[in-house]
Amino acid sequence: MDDRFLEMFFEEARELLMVLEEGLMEMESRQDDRAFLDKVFRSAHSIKGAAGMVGLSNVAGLTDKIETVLDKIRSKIVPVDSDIISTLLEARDLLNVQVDSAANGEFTEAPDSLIARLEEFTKPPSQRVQMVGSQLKLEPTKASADADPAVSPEQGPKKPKRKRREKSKTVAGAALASESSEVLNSDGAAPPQIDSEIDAVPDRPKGYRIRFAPGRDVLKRGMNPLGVLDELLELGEAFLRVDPSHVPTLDAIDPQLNYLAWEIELRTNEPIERIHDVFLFVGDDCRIEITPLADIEQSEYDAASVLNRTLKVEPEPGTSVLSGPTSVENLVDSKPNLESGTVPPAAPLPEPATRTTSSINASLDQSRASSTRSEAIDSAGSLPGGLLPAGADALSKVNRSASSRAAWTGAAGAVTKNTSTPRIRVDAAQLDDLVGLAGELAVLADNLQGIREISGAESYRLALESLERVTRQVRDQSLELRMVPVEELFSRFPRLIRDLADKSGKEIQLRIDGQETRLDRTIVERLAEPMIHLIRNSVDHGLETPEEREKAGKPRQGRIVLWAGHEGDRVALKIEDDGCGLNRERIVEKGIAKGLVPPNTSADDPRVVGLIFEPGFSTRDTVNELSGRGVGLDVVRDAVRALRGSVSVQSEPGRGTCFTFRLPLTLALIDGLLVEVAHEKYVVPLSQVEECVALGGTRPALSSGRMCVSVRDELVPLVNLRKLFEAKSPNPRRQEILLTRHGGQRVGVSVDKLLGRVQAVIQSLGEGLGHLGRFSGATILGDGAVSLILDLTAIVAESRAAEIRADLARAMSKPEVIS
Amino acid sequence: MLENNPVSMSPRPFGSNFAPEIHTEVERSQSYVIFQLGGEHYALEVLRVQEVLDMGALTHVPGSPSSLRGVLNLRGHVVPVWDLRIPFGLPVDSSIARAPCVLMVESNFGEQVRVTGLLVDRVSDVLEFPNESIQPSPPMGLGKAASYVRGLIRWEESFLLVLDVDRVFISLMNMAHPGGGF
Repeated sequence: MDDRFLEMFFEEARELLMVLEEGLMEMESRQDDRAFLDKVFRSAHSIKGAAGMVGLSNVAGLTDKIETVLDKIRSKIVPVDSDIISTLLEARDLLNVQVDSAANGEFTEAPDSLIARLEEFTKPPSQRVQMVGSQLKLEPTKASADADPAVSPEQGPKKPKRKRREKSKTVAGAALASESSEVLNSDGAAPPQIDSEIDAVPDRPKGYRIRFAPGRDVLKRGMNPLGVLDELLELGEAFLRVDPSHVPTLDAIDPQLNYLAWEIELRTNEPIERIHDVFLFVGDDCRIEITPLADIEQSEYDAASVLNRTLKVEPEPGTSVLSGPTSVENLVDSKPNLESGTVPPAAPLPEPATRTTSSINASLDQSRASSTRSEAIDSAGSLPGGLLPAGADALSKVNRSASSRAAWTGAAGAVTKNTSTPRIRVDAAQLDDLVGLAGELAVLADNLQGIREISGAESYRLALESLERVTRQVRDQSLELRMVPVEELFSRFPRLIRDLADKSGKEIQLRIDGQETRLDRTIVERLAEPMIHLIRNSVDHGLETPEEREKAGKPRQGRIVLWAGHEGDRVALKIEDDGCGLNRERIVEKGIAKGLVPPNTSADDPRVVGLIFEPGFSTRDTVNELSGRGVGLDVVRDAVRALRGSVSVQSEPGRGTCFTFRLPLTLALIDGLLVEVAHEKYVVPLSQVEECVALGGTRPALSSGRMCVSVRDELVPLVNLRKLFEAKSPNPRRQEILLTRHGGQRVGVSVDKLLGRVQAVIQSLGEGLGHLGRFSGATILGDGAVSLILDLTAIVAESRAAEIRADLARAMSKPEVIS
Repeated sequence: MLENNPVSMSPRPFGSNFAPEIHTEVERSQSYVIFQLGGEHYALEVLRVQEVLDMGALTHVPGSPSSLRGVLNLRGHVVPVWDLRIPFGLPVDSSIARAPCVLMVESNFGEQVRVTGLLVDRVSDVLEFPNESIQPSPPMGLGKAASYVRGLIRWEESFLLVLDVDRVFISLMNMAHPGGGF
């Protein structure tokens, strides 16, 4: 098996498993939405198909069980309840494990008990009860006993009512089913038939005409067309015809390519969706047409008669095809036809070929096609409309008379499987490279703009303008490619919260807002861990138990809100709960003990809650009050900072806690300000700079031991970059100050010179420099030099930390640790 | 730190300074880049070296460990350059006659292959030696360098020290870690 192919499978399977999980989570509330249920069903079906293709029988087997249950659900034979969902989720998780272990070359089998429980659900409820009663099957009893009390807490009090309604509906469904009681009783083991029996519509066609023309490369992609045919055969009675008309002469045959197409007349009562499902996996390059037979009978009646007329020249069905070619008006010698004719139509063998010119080949194809078809007529027997046009002449007539739906594949109106905008999978690293290159291109184009000023270069002005415009478009488009909706991140949380609620015995209602907000793919990926961390915190320590909540006069159900949206040029993500809030006194105590805040700090100080992000703050003895698992929130903060984002927290005692992430839209590119400090150039993200002021007019002054500068009568603390960077050269006479905001306060950062604006493609500084928080990366300037990107937030925090340490050192009247 | 723009490791031609032939008989012999550092001659497998650059303009990184000489632009990618003299315990003295070169070495950090620059005093040659010519190195007499040498090759009346470049990286990263050594 091709590794690349397997890789594709794992990628696809994981995606489908996500879809399946989301579907299962929503299923209880959307069980009347047939389109939705179909989607969920298809995700399972797709996994099964894909797993079968790569030979993962365990995955395919388990998915098959899931699929069967889902099929029952969508056809309303089995009502959705928490019990089923829990079991299905469990099975889905196991699938996940199976897929993951398969990726490591291991094989995990599903436990029989789970399979048995799934199978139990495929029986109609009436029967399920009977079974339990008469045969004393233990599994379902156990399953329902397990799940029923655990009826998902997030559903709250309304739940039982709705459930009862569902139940009554099921009873109605069962009654309907029992009208065709012999089906239920005698044929209970063949569920699909019950299914179709129930929602059979009087005018439902009794079968389909399917034309299945796999693409040339279908075998290379590992798809086996015969498997598809087998699957169709399982659905009912089928008449197969091979169309070998595209098989080339022997010397032109590539054994790795497929030249065959099939015509299938399928007699079945299955809905058309079932047929579509069979073809889910064959890929976009295959042509598939499915036409209900009834439609054909009506609309193609004329065509059939035309066809019959055309066919009159051909031999009677049943006579040897050997005579076929001679009756066709092609002047080809009969030898190759004889050979082609002797090939049984069902055998997809390439036909032997003789060296012929292309023109002969063309007519040969034609005659060969017609001879095959005449035989097809034979096998199709008396089916009306089960005929295909023999020659081009007849074909055009058919096309004219038949509706486009029933039209023959070769016609322009052919319907391909996938009608939505085609999508392709792209290697993420390649995409990153593209974004990087697009950014560099933008920098280069910027540099070239200077040419406009040169006299004599006026004729290039238009070209340069276009270059700039196109470059920006290229850059924006490629950046856009990296963006994904936060939904990809949020979608995993309903499940997480459901599980956490189950475990903790708390009742939780989850609200998600703004999940369509788009963010850089890397950010979305790397936010998962921090968000899970905070959500766990909220459930474990933020939200109270239902009893505690009632006592506090709050609704029993706790609430967690996940919110995403834009705030200026940043994206904000919020995790909010209405729990008990942070214990400020405890935090201050801890902070003073750890030397993180001055000893006299009051609990109301807004900086207090921010302390929970300090490294080493969360220790074992705070486990129960604050963050939990011994892993500090500093990990969360660092992860977010690494994404050039920030995290903040607001908390009100008894009202709840809200964590807010603020993140850049994209990681790849920033609008920056080029500055100079001690003869080195640095880039400052423009988003961090509120304002620039010249230091010439304002004199720095010491205020309570800190360098400050007065800006419009406001005393602003100043961070001297030259000092921080240990520059040896003396301060220049004139400096510029970048005003930034840190923890709600304005802070100035002094630099030597402002050099202008730049667009910077951000690159990592490389291994071993990750701890240098003051630089968020590096970029390459237009002249090829590398320039470091300053993170003003980290720089201010760094110098603040140094000051606090110095303060403490002074307070303890010891020599200064850090100057 | 951001890793959204890892240095791509698509096969690139070797630097213009030399174009060593990579023999298919890797099993039996290997080519080595020969460089000098503090008066000793070292050998590093050619397969690990992407190219050799003359020491050009570096961008200084304030606050970085002293062993980091700076970062440079390698065809659009920012690459850190470490001075091998520091982990080898040699003085960083500009008066010593050096024709400093940067070896661009491929290294594995976790799952990512990256290119890292190593500053050496001089790159002198590329030579091929049969595998059996590598002898185990004596544990003494090499000072700090001992832990970075994984063998000796007898060459022109003296020895070439075969560099264990992965250990060099580990040591550099440890030194770079906060509180580790600066």
